[in-house]
Amino acid sequence: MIPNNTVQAAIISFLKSKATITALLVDNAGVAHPEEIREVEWQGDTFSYPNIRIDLGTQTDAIAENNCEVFNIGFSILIFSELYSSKEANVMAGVIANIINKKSITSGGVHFVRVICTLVPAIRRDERTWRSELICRSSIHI
Amino acid sequence: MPINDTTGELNTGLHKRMIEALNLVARSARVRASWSKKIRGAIKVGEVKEQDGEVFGYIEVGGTAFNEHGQPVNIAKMARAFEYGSGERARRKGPHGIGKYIITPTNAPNLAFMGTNESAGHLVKTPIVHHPGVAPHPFLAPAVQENRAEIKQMMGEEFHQYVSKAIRVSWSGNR
Repeated sequence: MIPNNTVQAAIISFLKSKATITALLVDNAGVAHPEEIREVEWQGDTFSYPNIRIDLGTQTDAIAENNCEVFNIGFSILIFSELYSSKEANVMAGVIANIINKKSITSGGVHFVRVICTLVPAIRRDERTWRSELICRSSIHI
Repeated sequence: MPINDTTGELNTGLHKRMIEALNLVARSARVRASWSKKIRGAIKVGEVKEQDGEVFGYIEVGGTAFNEHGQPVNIAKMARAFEYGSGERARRKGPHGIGKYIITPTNAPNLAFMGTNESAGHLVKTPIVHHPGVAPHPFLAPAVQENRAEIKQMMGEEFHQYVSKAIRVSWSGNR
């Protein structure tokens, strides 16, 4: 199996490497925050909106019958926005989906074979925050 | 019968439906808690998780708000008190048990508050209060109940679609 931290770091570095994505991480004051792509359980208390969070799911053996080191993995890319409308959250999710959906990517030494995304429209996470989501699944190997 | 969801398609579908379900419940709960700005504002749709093949989600009610005197209020405790009732009116045993609970000052020798009932309109100062608690004003359980049938239908549809597709794929693959 590939350690969760390695997979998570690979996804985060991939997203951070895309200028189209980081260019969207600009707060209301016009300040860019390219660092705002982190794990969902990040414990820090200083952050800005909009931001992107990665929620790693379970990793399972893709082919149990032989010794191939290929694993199935699920993960979510969550986009949080605090604007009045859901537009920002939905636009960002769409941009990310266009970059990764049905694509094979390599990042941090981890190969993601054909990432399949399901785009979930933004919901009101709470009264002030919108959250859109990309549910992704892929097979991975090193 | 275990379902061999090797492609993760069922899991993804259930994950998506779970987000919709949580959103439905959160919306209803916010409407039901509209009498409290603090509680309403603290209802959050949590992330959907998957563990041991099970997809689950949760609604969070917590955090800290500030009262009219600028003092911090623990929203989780407040929400629990209204969901289940507290003190003599509790429907469920809370941290103080059932019955009046004692409130004592923490930063001053006396508690000070505007009186109610026979003390209405007077400032009351006392070192101890035997509080009867608050009546239940549930907003979460009824929100779940209100949407139960729709959620059940949504999940059923997702499962039905997956099984139908799996049968079709298997059938066309065997020809």
